[in-house]
Amino acid sequence: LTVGFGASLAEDPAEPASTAADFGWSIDPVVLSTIETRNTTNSAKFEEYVDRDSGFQIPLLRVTGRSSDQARQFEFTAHNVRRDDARYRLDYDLAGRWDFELDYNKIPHRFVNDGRLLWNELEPGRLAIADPLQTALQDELTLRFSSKQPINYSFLQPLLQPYLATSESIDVGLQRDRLHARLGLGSLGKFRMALDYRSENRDGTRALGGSFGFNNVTEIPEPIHYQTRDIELSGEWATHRAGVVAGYRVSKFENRVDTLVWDNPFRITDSTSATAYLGPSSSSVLGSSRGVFDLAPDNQAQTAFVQGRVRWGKHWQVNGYVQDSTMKQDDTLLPYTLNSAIDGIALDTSTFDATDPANLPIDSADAEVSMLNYGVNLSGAFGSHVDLAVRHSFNDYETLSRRTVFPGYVRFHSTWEEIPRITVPYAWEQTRSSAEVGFKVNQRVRFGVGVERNSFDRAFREIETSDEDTIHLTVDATLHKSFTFRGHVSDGEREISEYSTEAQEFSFFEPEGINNQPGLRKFDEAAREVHRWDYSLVWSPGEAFSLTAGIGRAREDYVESSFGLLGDLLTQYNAEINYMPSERLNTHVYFHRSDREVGQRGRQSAGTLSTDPLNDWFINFDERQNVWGVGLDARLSDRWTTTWYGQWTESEGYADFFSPPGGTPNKALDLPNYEDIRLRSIGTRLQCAISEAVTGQIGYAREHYTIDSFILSGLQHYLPGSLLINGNGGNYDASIVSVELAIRF
Amino acid sequence: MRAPRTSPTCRATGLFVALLLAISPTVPVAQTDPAACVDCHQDQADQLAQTSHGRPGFAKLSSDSCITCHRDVEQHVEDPNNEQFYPRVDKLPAAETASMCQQCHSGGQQFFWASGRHETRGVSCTSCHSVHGFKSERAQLHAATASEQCFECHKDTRAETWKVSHHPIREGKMGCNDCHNPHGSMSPKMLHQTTVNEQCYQCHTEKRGPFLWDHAPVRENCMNCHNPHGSNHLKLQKTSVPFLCQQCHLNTRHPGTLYDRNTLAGQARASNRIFNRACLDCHANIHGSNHPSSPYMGH
Repeated sequence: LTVGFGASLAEDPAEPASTAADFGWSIDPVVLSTIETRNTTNSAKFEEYVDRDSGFQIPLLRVTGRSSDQARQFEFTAHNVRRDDARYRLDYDLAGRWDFELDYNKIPHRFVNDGRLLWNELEPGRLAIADPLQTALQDELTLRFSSKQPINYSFLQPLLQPYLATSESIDVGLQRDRLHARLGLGSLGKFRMALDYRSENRDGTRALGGSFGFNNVTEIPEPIHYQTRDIELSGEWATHRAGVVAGYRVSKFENRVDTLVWDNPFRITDSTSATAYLGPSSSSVLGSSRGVFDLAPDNQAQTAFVQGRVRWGKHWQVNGYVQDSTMKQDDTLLPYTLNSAIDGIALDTSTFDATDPANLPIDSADAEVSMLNYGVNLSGAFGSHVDLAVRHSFNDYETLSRRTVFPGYVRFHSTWEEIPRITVPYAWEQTRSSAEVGFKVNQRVRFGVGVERNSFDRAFREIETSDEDTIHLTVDATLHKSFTFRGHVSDGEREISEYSTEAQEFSFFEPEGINNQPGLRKFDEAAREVHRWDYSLVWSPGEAFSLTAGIGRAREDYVESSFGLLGDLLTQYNAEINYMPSERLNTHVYFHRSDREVGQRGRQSAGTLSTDPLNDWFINFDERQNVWGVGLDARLSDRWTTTWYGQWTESEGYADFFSPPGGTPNKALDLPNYEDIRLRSIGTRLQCAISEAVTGQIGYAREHYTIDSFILSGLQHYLPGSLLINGNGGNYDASIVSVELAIRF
Repeated sequence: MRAPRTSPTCRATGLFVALLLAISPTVPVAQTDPAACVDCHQDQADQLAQTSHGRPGFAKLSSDSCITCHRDVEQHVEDPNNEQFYPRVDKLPAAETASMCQQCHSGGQQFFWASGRHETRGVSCTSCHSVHGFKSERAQLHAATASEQCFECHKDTRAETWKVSHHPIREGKMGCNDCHNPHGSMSPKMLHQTTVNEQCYQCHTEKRGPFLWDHAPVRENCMNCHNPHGSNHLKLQKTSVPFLCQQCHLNTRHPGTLYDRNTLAGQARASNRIFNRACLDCHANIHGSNHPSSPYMGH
């Protein structure tokens, strides 16, 4: 159904005379499909970000319209209509005057299926266990504790098993629905204005650790009911010579369920003791009947920004920007605990009701951060052979929140810890300055050499200042029109000021004593040497053949670190060949391999910090990834086409442990399954152009996924100290058969 | 906007565009007569008519029709079969191509094209975009999607997206250009926002805080712990917990304890500090906590 396109040739496009009546509409295409999905398991991984349920679907619908004078254009595109992973886009514009875009993107994120849960959701933010169950478990534990029999996994596992066997099933996952609407004015002129509105609703659940103690880790579903609203107004004036952009953005995050209260399966009545956080164990069976979690607080951010550029001569340009942001959060604080048995102890040693928020030193967080960013770039060329780029930027992150002293805190809802703590207003400044000179041998070959200094100035951290100096060389060459080579080599060194082990005490109101290894350097601020290089080439001697290949290495050595991260080495290779022997056949094959080695060192301590090297342990992580892929597109005849693809992804990791004999630990055992993952996928489509307006297609796809991960191995719903959801996000072998009909009107 | 398809409607529109361009009075007809171009290049005209370059707005910006982009056409007109004189924009040196496109595309996303990493290293507009032969629904790219276009060069990053923990890039629910501006920006790695964290906060607003109890490295750079392109560990972690945490925390008691195969679930010294989410089972608010009792990023 395509009408219109009248030839009003003489009309000024700036003053269109079109109306809805002379709009020409077309549907091109609407794709109707039915899919049949089979999966050997109910692993959430198979549909992690997509909706592959069997049944009818509309994978694509596109409706377009144009006014007869071409000035107005409308386009609506819908993917996976009414599915969980649907996306709808709408564009409408009057050429040169204004344009409107709407993008609605639904993104599922499924974590695990068929998990088990002792709790029932009474209402959003309240997870309860039936009182008789709590009572029965508490009574059993109390009886056993009083009889001084051991309370350990061997006792607890069969105690819980009958209840877990009949517990609720739960799928853990969430849905993000993202909207972006944009109204632009003057898209073809020197002056432009834009109003952007973004929103996201995120609803569902996510696994969350809700522990009641060292031996009572409980995993619960965190209710996710987030809402984010952003609005931005910006204006731009730009010519070829100069331009300015200025704008203002407000972003507001709201958590509609910002508190989670959940029951302790082992306690129906509140109680406390100095060792209650160790329960349930032979040390204690006491603790809180409920836990409370302060979920992500509402927050808002405001940003004002100005950007500009000026060009002069044939080559020179200065770019600059200034951006000022504030981030605020002032959620009402929860009390120290819901455990009515706990008395708080103030700094003057008087006691208070720890369940009453009125006894907090502040009633709301009143947290604020100010961030100032600015930067300036100068770039240009001296003649046709030498170019220069100088860049400078500055970021200032400053926490404006006041420091608040809390006389103590409640550990795991169970025990008051009389350890006064004080909030810490972390702050940092980053200054980056760089210069690069390029030498163009000719229009197609350029060598670059550059230096950069990346400096940090931090407050309340172990290292106050650091400077990382890097020199790099680049080459970009296009030779004989068919051969492109790119290379990059860099060497960097970060030097630091004195390392302050006392920094760990900044959150303690009174010094507690150093209990982290003094030889440890936190890697994000530690001294290091960085060496990187990568080379890539593209060779395409003709339209029919191209070869792409690359190799790269990145090495970080933490040269002054005795403990913690010591080094990280990543080596990558890739190759890809595209071959199109005729217009009827297009094939490609690709390969990628990466090897990553990470080394770290630790030292095991008991109650006091160990200085004995025999207590050291070392890990060398080795992670490899191989990806092989192949694809083929063939035109079998004027009506028939087919596509085939296959990909094999394999990741293997090994954690190699070493601990010297005679210490603690005495002997370490390696982890051979430091995430061993395989994903094989194959697929084919056969397409037939039934007529000029109708195309039919049948398709088949299969995925086989396996994961062997140390961190998930042997998981059950109940393990020593842990009550877990233990859902299915693992292996699957799935196939999809689809039949499609694409129709154009 | 959409992939090219030649139909009678397209061809009619192509002719319309050609005629529309032909009425321009400002440049000698001998040089700009699109009808002459269309005599040989009807397919390109048909295809162009379906794009923004074929709409009235283009005529408003330029009255030079085809030679707005295709310059030095005289020799090509005289000797049309000589490949040497083909006025193909994509065969020009990168700087000349960019200069051509920047005649009109100098604002918006292209505002900071000059001095951007792509510009500096000789990537041009036609490296990714095609005016006449594009495959993508949007932005007239050589590849079907923006991410596939990026992966034409950034092969290693493509491989990272195939790791088990990844953003929904390979599923097409987001693209490289959601975080990066390939046309150039003032930020490292051509991010849209000025810092890594501000970029992450565009979607992860719940982690923006600030919190009562902040975790210093979190406030500085999300990439201290996460690799946004992909990882084989939970939640895009660079190294798996608990070992990631132990790269900074080797305090007395459990932080410094070795968690090896002996401590896995089902083993003799099974410890809940290695399996499932390890440290995060208790330190669940690792990005920052607002609870008065959570100086250790717990509840």
